[in-house]
Amino acid sequence: MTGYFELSWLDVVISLVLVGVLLIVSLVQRLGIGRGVFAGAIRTFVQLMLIGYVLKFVFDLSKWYWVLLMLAVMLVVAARTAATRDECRQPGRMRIAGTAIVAGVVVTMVTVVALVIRIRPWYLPQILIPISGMVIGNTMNAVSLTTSRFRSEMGHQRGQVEAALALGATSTQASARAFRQGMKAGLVPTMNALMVVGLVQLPGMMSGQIIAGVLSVQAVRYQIVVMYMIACGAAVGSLVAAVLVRRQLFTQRHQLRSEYL
Amino acid sequence: MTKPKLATERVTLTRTRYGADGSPPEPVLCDVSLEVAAGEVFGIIGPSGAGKTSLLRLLNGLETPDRGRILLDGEDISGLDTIDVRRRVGMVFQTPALFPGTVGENVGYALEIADVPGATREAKGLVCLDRAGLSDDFWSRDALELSQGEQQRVAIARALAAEPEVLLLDEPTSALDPSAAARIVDLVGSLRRDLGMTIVFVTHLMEQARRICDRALVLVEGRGVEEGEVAALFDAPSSEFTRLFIQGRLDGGRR
Ligand SMILES: Nc1ncnc2c1ncn2[C@@H]1O[C@H](COP(=O)(O)OP(=O)(O)O)[C@@H](O)[C@H]1O
Ligand SMILES: [Mg+2]
Repeated sequence: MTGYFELSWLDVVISLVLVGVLLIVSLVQRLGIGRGVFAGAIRTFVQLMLIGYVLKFVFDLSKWYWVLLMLAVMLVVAARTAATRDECRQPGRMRIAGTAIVAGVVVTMVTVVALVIRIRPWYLPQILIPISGMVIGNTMNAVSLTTSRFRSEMGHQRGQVEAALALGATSTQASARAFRQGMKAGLVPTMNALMVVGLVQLPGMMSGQIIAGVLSVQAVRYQIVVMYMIACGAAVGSLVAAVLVRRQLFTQRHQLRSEYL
Repeated sequence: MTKPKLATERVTLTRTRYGADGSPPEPVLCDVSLEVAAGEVFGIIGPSGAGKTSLLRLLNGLETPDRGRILLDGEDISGLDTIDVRRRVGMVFQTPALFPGTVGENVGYALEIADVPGATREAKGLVCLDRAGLSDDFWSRDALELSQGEQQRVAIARALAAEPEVLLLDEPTSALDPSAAARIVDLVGSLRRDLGMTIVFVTHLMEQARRICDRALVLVEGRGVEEGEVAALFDAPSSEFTRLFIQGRLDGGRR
């Protein structure tokens, strides 16, 4: 086994050269994102530093309420991110994204903690937090893709949707095609990830161990389980999101509320 | 008039206008009353923007009025099942709004919605096509590749699938050339004659209204200005607006 090459803070500072490349490209091409590059570089630095301390704090205390608080913060940030990506400016999108992400994550985590990883105590932060993070991130993407695609298809197909309603179709029947297209758009990235995992990008859980020089069969097994978990989280999140958007888009009397498109 | 088939009692509809962010809702329809007798062709005429489409949407239940009642066979539709109302009151839109796929799939979908069992759908669908003046050959053709006139017939065939008692037609000829338009007008006449359907026909063309409507409502800026026998409307309009409108001086414009 080879040695472990330690990084000093100086090494990290030197790596800013790489962000410099991004900065130069954006300046030369006048992309107008110069400030974003600065902010992004600083936020990466500060957020990862902070999260390092926070994680260490939560790991050391190992109290269920600190773990749940941490997960709650992650879920709120994910819901906000998904909601701001939803182009509809109507109220309710935060509630939809939040409910869908929580549903996907809770179903997945409860199943896994009960049946697969069976960690004791159930809130063991070293395992629960990183795995939840991966599931939350992926579910968030599935939810935001599902809602925005579903809404935009409903906008494009508005005439057909209302034609179906006028024929006596229920709101579920009239929106069925856009609903399927939305869910499919939400799930395709996850399907692709299942197809190419390990071939193009090594998943984070394994990369860490490889770099630390301790890659184990355990890490591989964990990674396989995590991949199946993100599939489940995306499926539940996408379904719940689509159902909630559909409920928002129609009245009880099967009328399209076009102001929500 | 005996009990009307379909009627509105002082319906009012307000909504925020397109693209008018933050502006207060404006009335689109204001105290509109009308009575459509069973088996007649009832016209709704008026310039564009008058609220004709909005009125049809209320009659089909796609929107709910803020005030006023809509009566189908004397019953307030707000107390009826919306799906049921839409099956009884079919609607054909200004643009055909066909689904991607074949003509058969379009009509078949409407039959499925109307709970017609799969085995009998094609036979029933061909009857609907025939009533809309399309031969059996159209069944397997791509709906979106047909001419505008043919597409509008498919839309009519689709609306006939649920065997509605009333058919609402929103300017069905506005996208058609004159000869295709004339044939749609003939088709409307035959639906009434052969099937005894009650028809509400929206148009902004006076000639058309005169040819096929028994009675009509003149709608201007969301208000009904005159309702009566078409012949009387044309020969002795009681409102100044109707007089100008039938002379073609206001066609498409606003006061
Ligand atoms: N979906 C809608 N949202 C807001 N305003 C609308 C909508 N559809 C139509 N309007 C407005 O309502 C008024 C009546 O429109 P409409 O019923 O389509 O008239 P017509 O069919 O007689 O041309 C118009 O001023 C139009 O701009
Ligand atoms: Mg119109």
